[in-house]
Amino acid sequence: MSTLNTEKIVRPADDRVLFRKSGAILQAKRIAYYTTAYDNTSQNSLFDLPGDLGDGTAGITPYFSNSRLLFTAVLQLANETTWRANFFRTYYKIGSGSWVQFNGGFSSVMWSNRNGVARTIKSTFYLGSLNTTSTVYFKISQIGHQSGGYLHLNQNSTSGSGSGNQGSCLSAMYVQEVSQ
Amino acid sequence: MATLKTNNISDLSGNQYGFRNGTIIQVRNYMYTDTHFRNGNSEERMPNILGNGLAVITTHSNKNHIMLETTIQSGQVNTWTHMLYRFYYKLGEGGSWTQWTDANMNTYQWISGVSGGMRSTSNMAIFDPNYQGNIYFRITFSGNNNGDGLHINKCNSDNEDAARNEFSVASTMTLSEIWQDS
Repeated sequence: MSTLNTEKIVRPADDRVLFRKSGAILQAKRIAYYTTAYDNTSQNSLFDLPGDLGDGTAGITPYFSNSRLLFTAVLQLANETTWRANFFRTYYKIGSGSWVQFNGGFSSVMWSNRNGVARTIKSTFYLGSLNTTSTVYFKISQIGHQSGGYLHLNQNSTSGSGSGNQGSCLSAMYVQEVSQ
Repeated sequence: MATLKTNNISDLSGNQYGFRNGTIIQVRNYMYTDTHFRNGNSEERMPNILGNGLAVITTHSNKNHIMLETTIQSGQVNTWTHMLYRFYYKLGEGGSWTQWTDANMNTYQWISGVSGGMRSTSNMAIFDPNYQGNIYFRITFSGNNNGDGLHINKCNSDNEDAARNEFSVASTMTLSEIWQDS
């Protein structure tokens, strides 16, 4: 096997450098986001998050079948007096396949006698190789505690309001493809 | 040294090597490890590199995107605090500061009568600046009308209101440039 040594390899159109190494992040992508303040008072029932956080349309198409996927969720969660406990489940499916729950789940507990205080929750999970170059879809579902499980997504206020998104905060899902 | 120009480099199985849409091509990290306290609830800049507007990444093309990952270590002093962190960017040294709401985040702590606790809060955001050159970033904070102030990196296990970073934490901002073909 021959070896070519060169300082750089560029494409002719614009002289941009080309390269790839094992472990490199081949693509980083925001696959879903939701900006509206959202309330759900279903307490102890499991439901999908609103918009493309939960409707199953958010996906990423790996360049290589042996790549691994680094999943990250960033959710903006608010409290209303007195406490909230929210549990989130994460799922993927390959193409038109079935949803598979993976261990990217996370939770949030808040306790405060104020409305509108909020926390940004970030959770990351490194999936194994899914052996596919088909689009991999993701979604998040939520179930609340039976006594304090209301969900207040994207709600936040520094003045005690129990509604609205003062900081125009955003909840989102991101996926990074890691080369193997 | 020679320069080789090509549209594609593939291995023997036909897999393409090289940058593709989404590839991270550079990472910059900024951190603050001192402690910092501010009272009040008006919007102010974060201390030092987190808020002075000198955190920068230089994009190689106006096609490329920026990914931000931040961790803020928010300390607590009797009894509670709530902070709204806002993020701003500026295109070039002479540009104007623009709020990047996609990255804004909140944190709060509430333990009656307790000091020295701390919460680590992180975010992630991606955007298309449509700009080649230096892009600057800064963070501000706004406290709750009724909560205590900002206690960056303040943490101890002795229930004290002390300007001490007992656990050697850092508040950080990481900027990555994401390649885009077009």
